[in-house]
Amino acid sequence: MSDASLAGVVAQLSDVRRRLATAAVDVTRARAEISQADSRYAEAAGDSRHPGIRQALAHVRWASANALTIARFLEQARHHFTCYLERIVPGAAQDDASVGLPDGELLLVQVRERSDLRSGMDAFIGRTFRNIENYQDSGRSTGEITGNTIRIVRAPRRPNGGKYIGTASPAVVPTPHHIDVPEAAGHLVVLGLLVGIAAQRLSHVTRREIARFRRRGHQKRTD
Amino acid sequence: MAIRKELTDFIRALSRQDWEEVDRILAKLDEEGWTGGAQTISAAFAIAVHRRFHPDDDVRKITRFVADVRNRYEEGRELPALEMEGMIRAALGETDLAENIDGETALSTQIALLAALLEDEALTGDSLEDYIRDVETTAARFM
Repeated sequence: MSDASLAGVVAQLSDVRRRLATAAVDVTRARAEISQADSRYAEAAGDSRHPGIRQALAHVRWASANALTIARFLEQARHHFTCYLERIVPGAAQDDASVGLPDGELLLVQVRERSDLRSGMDAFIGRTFRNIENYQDSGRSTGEITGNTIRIVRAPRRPNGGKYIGTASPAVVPTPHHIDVPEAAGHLVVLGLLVGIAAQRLSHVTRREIARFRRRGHQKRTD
Repeated sequence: MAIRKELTDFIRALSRQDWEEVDRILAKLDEEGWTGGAQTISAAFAIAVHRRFHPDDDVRKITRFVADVRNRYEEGRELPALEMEGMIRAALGETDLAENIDGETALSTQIALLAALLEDEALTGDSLEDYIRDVETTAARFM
């Protein structure tokens, strides 16, 4: 590949990363706005039984609940583009400081999400390890159960249906993947643009629904 | 309380699929006792699940993974599919699903799934040690 075409791929990837970062922050801001004002919208809708109002309220809440996931996917997509760019041209991602997030909002969202995940994980561990410990007091030993399970997972199914023989297997050594730069970059660019468009559309729809509720709330107060 | 080195070595050996080392460590743990074993295995399992899945993932992704794990081993059909799915979903936040899984099944499904998750991740060097540190820190909170 010539230097000029490689530079073109790098420029495209940098542009997609920039767009993804911007889209992620837009979605995050939209979510923050919805969360802060959710009770106000519910009040504005009041006890309206109009199906359109109820549906719009449900849509806003759905958007709020899913915006975090979309922001996370956008950020993950940006991360994958960054890794890919680094594999094509080492150092290119670090040199392009303008692709960094414009502020710490997404970082805060990620910290909050990680904290939520961590408490869920702790609840699981707390519950499950006690189940196991209680069982140890009355049933088979941990060693027996572990040994029996290890016997299963050390014997992979052979492709020809033959039984695996032997007790040790070599450590898995990951093989490097060949990268077809132009083709893969093309796919990634299209994917990145689609994700960016979807995120911006979500942001737009969310803001439109918010504006509708504001208008409804204003009308109700002035009636 | 610190996590015993044999327990983290067990996770390392499982990750490398070094079965001779696994046998050696299991024999030592049987001899000296499994104190902290349930906490360490549960923490290693939960963290590995979170590295692979996200609570928002479609449940079919979990079903496919469990089916793959059961097909992966010669005697994989001995592993209970529903309990394996339940254990993954419980680790991702639906903790009530773990309530009806007895201790023996919980331990064996966690080990089988952990072995498969670690095999797929093929962690080595610093990545493996980062994961082990996370397991140690998490398990220590329950000691």
